[in-house]
Amino acid sequence: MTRLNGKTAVITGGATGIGLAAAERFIEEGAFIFIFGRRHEALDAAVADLGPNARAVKGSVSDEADLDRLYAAVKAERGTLDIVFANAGVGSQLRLGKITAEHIDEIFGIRRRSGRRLPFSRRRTAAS
Amino acid sequence: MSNNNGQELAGKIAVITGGSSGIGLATAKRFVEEGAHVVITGRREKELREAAAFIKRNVTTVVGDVSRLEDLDRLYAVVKEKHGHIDILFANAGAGTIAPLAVATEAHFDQTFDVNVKGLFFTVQKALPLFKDGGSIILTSSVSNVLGLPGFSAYAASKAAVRNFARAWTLELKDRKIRVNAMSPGPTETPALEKTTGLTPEQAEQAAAQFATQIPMGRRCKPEEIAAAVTFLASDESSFITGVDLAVDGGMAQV
Repeated sequence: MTRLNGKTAVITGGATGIGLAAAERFIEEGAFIFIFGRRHEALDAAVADLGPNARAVKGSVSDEADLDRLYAAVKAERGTLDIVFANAGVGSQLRLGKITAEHIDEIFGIRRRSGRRLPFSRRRTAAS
Repeated sequence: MSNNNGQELAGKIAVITGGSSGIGLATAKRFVEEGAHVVITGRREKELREAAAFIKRNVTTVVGDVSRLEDLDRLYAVVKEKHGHIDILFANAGAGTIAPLAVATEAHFDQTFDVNVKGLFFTVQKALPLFKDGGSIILTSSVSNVLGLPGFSAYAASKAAVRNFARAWTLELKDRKIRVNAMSPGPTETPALEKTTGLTPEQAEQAAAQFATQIPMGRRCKPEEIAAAVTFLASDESSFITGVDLAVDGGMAQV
């Protein structure tokens, strides 16, 4: 029950599913954790469940400013970081002929720069 | 998922081959600390006695050579009489001597495969009648199972065979809910390098120093670190893990 005694951990995608299960177990093992996710209600519910050794920071891993805010919060409260569980992810199914550049960008976390379009970024792909 | 008051293996019966020194001994000691009773086997009676003294309690020793099927029968007869069943099998006995392809003898080849492959195969087969459903089998493979190591070709091939056993046996034993995993140590601080590979003490020291440069973590593994990984695979902490090859190699074969 003390494998992570005194450790500080960040869990992205930590409000639900695997991330939340990890948060619960980390706390059981004595850690202090920060969960990071995009949805307010899920974060609030998770922190209420997890108790006093959990903090929530709202944001998206694809947004650098959000990540800066996360790690600033960790530094301010704990001054140190021992564990990062980089768990946040998205996934959806699309058949090969229907995949768009936007879909690829979303899965790979590539942020589109406004005003510049890449050569292959068209709504319809060549193969179908 | 959480353990029973820090006792991951409370009440479990574990059999460990190659249990009188090195990785096997460190694992036996850790298993007992976690609440298990262990039966350890090895070829050298004196070392087995010393191992039992080191482990202190909840340990039975049986002298034997895993490459001799009658020795395996004797081992499991002792287990059956003393405990009646097996929960965990750590098929760890193994040997490796250096022999470049051009000069390797038939005896070298046979010994390597007799112990590491045939001996391990029948160690597992003969345990099955005693196994409880829901148990865990861990096979000691080696980081060498994915590497090309000059002078170690027979050894590395034998360890690749062990890793693959975990695949078929995972399927063969799934209906009995027995998990089968391979565990691949990298270079580890045990007597084996000095005592069984045929190197002189100076060569062994040089080899150890060279390992440190080849390993991302910059050092060899301690036997307790292997024991920790095997304990994980033996326990319910790894309840959804089967068929894998868990490398404990400081990153050596991973990068």
